[in-house]
Amino acid sequence: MPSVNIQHLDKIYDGGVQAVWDFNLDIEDGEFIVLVGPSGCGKSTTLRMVAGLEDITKGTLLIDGKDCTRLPPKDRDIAMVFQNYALYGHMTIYENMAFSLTLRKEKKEVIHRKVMAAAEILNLKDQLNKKPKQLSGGQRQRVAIGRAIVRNPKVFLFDEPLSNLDAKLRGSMRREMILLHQRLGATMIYVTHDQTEALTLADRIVCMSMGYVQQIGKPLDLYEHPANTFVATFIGLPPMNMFHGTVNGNKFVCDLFEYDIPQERIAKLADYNGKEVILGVRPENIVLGGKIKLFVNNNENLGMNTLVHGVLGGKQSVVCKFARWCGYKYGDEIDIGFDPEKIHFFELPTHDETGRELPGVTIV
Amino acid sequence: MEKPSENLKIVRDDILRYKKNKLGQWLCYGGLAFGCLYIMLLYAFNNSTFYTVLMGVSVLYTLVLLLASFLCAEGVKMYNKRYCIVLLILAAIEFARIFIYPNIAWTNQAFWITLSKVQAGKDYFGIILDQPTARTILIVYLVLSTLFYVAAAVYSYFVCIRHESFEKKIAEGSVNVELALKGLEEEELAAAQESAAPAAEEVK
Repeated sequence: MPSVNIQHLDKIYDGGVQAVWDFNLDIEDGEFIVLVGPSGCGKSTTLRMVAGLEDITKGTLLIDGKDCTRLPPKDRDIAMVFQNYALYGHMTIYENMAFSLTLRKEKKEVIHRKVMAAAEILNLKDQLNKKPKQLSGGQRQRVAIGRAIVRNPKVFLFDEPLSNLDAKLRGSMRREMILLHQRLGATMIYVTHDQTEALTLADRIVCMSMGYVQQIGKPLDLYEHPANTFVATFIGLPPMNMFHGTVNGNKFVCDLFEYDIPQERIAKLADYNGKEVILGVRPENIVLGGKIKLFVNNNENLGMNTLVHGVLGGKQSVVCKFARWCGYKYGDEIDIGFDPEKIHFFELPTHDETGRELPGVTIV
Repeated sequence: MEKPSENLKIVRDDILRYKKNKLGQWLCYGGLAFGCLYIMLLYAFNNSTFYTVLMGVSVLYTLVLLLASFLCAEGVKMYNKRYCIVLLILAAIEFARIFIYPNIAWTNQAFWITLSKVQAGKDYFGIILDQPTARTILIVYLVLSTLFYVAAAVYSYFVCIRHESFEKKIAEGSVNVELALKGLEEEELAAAQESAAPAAEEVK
């Protein structure tokens, strides 16, 4: 039985603004689900509906088979960790972690045992007598997670928990989150706008845009087989390069270059012959030594990789990622090509009856 | 009542390391509150000639009482047993006060505090006080204040001793909290299974 079952969830605010449209998801027990998308895409709203902090306008929410659609948050057996930690400043770390159990009137020995166990997991034992202001951001977030752990909930909800931390700390906290999930084996739903977090943490990613689910799948699926142009450009850093052009027999033709379509893809693109499509290629799938001339305008050495930014035909920006140290200068011209195995073709974006732009669907 | 297990005792002592002595602190505040009530009643109705120069001393002592009580409350909260002695001194002074104003004045009608106020129709929370009632209330306040300070001192002293000796044991390594926590968890599981067994029998 899935741990969390979300069916046709809609959220319409009082002003008539619809934030979430027909959200469906079955989450297995112990799964780590990441909701990812840009600001305003409805991911936090969805999480808050699962938590019970927002009313569900339409749809059903089942947690462990129990209908929780109209249940108050306290009866859902979930624990939520917020971006701003939401710790009580006047309480010690121990008291903060014990607070929810104290409210439940648990025995103080039981509370102590649970708090000490959580502190052990999170390496917070030496900080228990301190106040939150005496801790670093990462430690505070660990306290917030500890407060959730002591409750031993069915589902953990995380609302952008690492967004307040600096880049280095975020990296180490990310690794700690993975270890924590392995150790607890609990069901977790995690909201972030950071696709690196999504790719590294998730068992499955739910990619959202404008209130709609764009794609649900394993991180590698989303990366290698994006469902549409939105997912293709949102997942991956730097984003995928997109070229508008036309299929002309066995060639993709655009203003800037012509590209021979690999043999195995020609059949799949047969229906699009003479039609406009989008060719997508990730920066790391651009290779040196093709027929396309790139005017280099920036060279960013990152150690193991180099990001080479350039312009095609004076108008289309392109980013390439080469797995070596490069020393290109502004004005250099290099020849590039695409890895034929790793290119994607998308339909052009369309509009629905309400005028909303729909991202171009993947053809092949 | 069942005797607590060794593990439970260790865990209860370990809790002291992470929780403050809130009860001792609030008992201190209780003593202070009744001391304040005494002062408020005394000063509200005092028009006698009993307090002349002594009035200044009384006011100064009140300030000292407030400060000392607050310091003691914070001290015992952090398991500092030296403050228990200060609390006992405060308790002794509060008790001694019974024999200064309400009692000495009782013997001499010239020192009765309520006389002219009663004539003027003044009241204390809706009650027109006569001297015997005022005296009784003042004594009750001082007795309660004393009792709270004594309770705070005695309770905090024992808790501080417990805390101190447990910290010493931890430093010596003669107790293992992790083991005790694990043991307690097992005891709880066993107890839960034991209580579930008769219910299962009944179902059978």
